[in-house]
Amino acid sequence: MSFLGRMTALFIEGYPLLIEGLRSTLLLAIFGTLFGLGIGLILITVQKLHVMDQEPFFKKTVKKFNAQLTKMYVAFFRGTPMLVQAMVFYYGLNQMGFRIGFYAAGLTVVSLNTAAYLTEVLKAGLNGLDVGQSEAALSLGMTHGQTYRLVLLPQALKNMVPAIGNELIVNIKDTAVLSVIGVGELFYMGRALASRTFLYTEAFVLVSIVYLITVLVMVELLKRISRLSDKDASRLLNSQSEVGV
Amino acid sequence: MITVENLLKDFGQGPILKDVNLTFKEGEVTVIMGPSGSGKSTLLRCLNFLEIPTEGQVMFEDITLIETPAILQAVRQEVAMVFQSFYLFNHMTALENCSLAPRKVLGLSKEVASQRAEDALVEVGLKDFLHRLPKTLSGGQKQRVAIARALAMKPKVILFDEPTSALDPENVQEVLQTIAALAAKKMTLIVVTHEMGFAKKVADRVIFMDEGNVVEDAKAHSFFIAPKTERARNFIKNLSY
Ligand SMILES: Nc1ncnc2c1ncn2[C@@H]1O[C@H](COP(=O)(O)OP(=O)(O)O)[C@@H](O)[C@H]1O
Ligand SMILES: [Mg+2]
Repeated sequence: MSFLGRMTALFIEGYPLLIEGLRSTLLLAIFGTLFGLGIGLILITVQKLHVMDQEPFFKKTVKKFNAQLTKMYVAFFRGTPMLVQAMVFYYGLNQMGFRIGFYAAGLTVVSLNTAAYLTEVLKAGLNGLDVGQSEAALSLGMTHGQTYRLVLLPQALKNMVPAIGNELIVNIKDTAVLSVIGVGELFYMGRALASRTFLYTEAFVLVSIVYLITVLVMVELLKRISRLSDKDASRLLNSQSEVGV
Repeated sequence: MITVENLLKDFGQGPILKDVNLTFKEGEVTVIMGPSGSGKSTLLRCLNFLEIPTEGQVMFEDITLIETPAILQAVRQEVAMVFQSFYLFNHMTALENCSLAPRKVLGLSKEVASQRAEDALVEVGLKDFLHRLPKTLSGGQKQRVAIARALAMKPKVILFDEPTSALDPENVQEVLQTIAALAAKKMTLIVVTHEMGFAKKVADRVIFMDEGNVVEDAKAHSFFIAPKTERARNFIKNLSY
C-alpha cells in the first residue's frame, strides 16, 4: 500500500479517536485562554493597585508585597516549561494527597500559564497608554479605581484582542505537552493510534494535518471577528458623516 | 475662589515654581502667558492637585487642598481641566466621554447624565457628532468634545492648558470661539495660551510668568498696551511677528 493509501486507511480507522482528541484540545485551549485572561486580570489589578502616600504603613506594605508576589508568579510561569509545570502540578498534588484528574490538572496548568503571559501583555498595554488618559479621568474627579476600571483597563483590553487570539493559537498547539500527564488531547490520541497500528509516521503526519487545519481555521475565525468589530466602527463613521456638517 | 499661597514646586532639580501667590476671582477670565518652561502648566496642574505642591498651599473656596482622596475628588469635580492634547477617552463616543464622569462621579442616572452630556456637546456646536469615536474627529472637534466633557460636570472653574497649541491652524478659531462663548457667560476660566488676539479680546487679566515666577499680573488691556517689564515687552513683540 502506498503512503497515501496507508494514511487514508489510518484516518478511516482512527478518526473517532482524533475527533475526541481534537475536542479536548479545543476545550482546553479555549477555556484555558478564558480562565487565563480572568486570572491575568486579577493579577494585573493586584500589581497595579494604587498606593497613596497617606495610607497606613501596614496597608501600603501589604499592597507592595502582593504586587511582588504577582511578579514572582509571572516569572515562575514564564521561566519554566509548561511540560515541567504539568509534571510538578500533577504529581505534586497527588503526592500531597489531593486527587486531581488529568483534565482538571491540564486545564489548571494551561490557565495558570496563559495568565502569566496575558498579565505581561496587559501590563504592556496599560503602560503603553498615554498618562494623559488617567490625568483626564482624575481631573474629572474620578477615583484611582474608577480611572483604572472605566478608562485604562477597557483600552488596554481592546488593544490586546490580537494578543489574546494569538495566545489561543499557541494554546491549541502547546496543550500537546499535557499528554505527559495523560490528558487525552489530540497528540495523545495520535500516539495511541500510532502504537496501536505501528504506523508511526503516518499517525503523526495525520495529527500534524489536524493541528494545521484547526489552527488555520482558528486564525481565519479570529480575523473575521476583528474585521467585524472594525466594520462596526466604520459603519458608525459613515452613517454619522452623512448627517455631519 | 482659588487662592495660591507661597506655592513652591520642585521636581527634584531645583524649584520650577518659586513662591507664587495668586488669587482667582469668580467670573474672571485669566490668561497666563510666558516662555516655554516658565512653569505655566505646572502652576495650572497645582490648582487641581494633578501636581502636589512641594511647599505652600492652594485653596479652593474655603477648602484647603490636601492629598486626601475625598478632598481631591470633591475639588476636581468643581475645577475642570482641558489639556493641550485633548486626552479624550479613545474607547468611547463623544457622548460617552461627556457622560462618564457625571454618571460615575456625580452619581447621576444614565438618562440624566446623557442629557447633560448632549446639552454640553450642543453648546460646543457638536450636536451632529454625539456618537462619533474620537479617532474620527478633527483636532478642533476633539478639543471641543474635551471642553464639553468639562462642561458636563458643571464646574465652577475650567483650567485650559494651551488648548489650541496641538491644533492645525484652521482648527484654532473654532476652539477659541468656543472658549470665548464660555467667557461671555461669565464662567471662571484660567487659560494658558499664546493667542494674543484671544487674550486681548477675552481676558480680564493677564499673568505673565518667567522662570517659575509671576513677573506681571495686570488687567488685560493695560498689560498689552504697556507691559511693565522688559521681558514681557520682548515676549509680546516676538508673538506679534
Ligand atoms: N513631572 C515633571 N518632572 C520633572 N520636571 C518637570 C515635570 N513637569 C515639568 N517639569 C519641568 O518644569 C519646568 C516647567 O514646565 P512647565 O510647567 O510645563 O512649563 P510651561 O508649561 O510654562 O512650558 C520645565 O523645565 C519642565 O522640564
Ligand atoms: Mg506647558
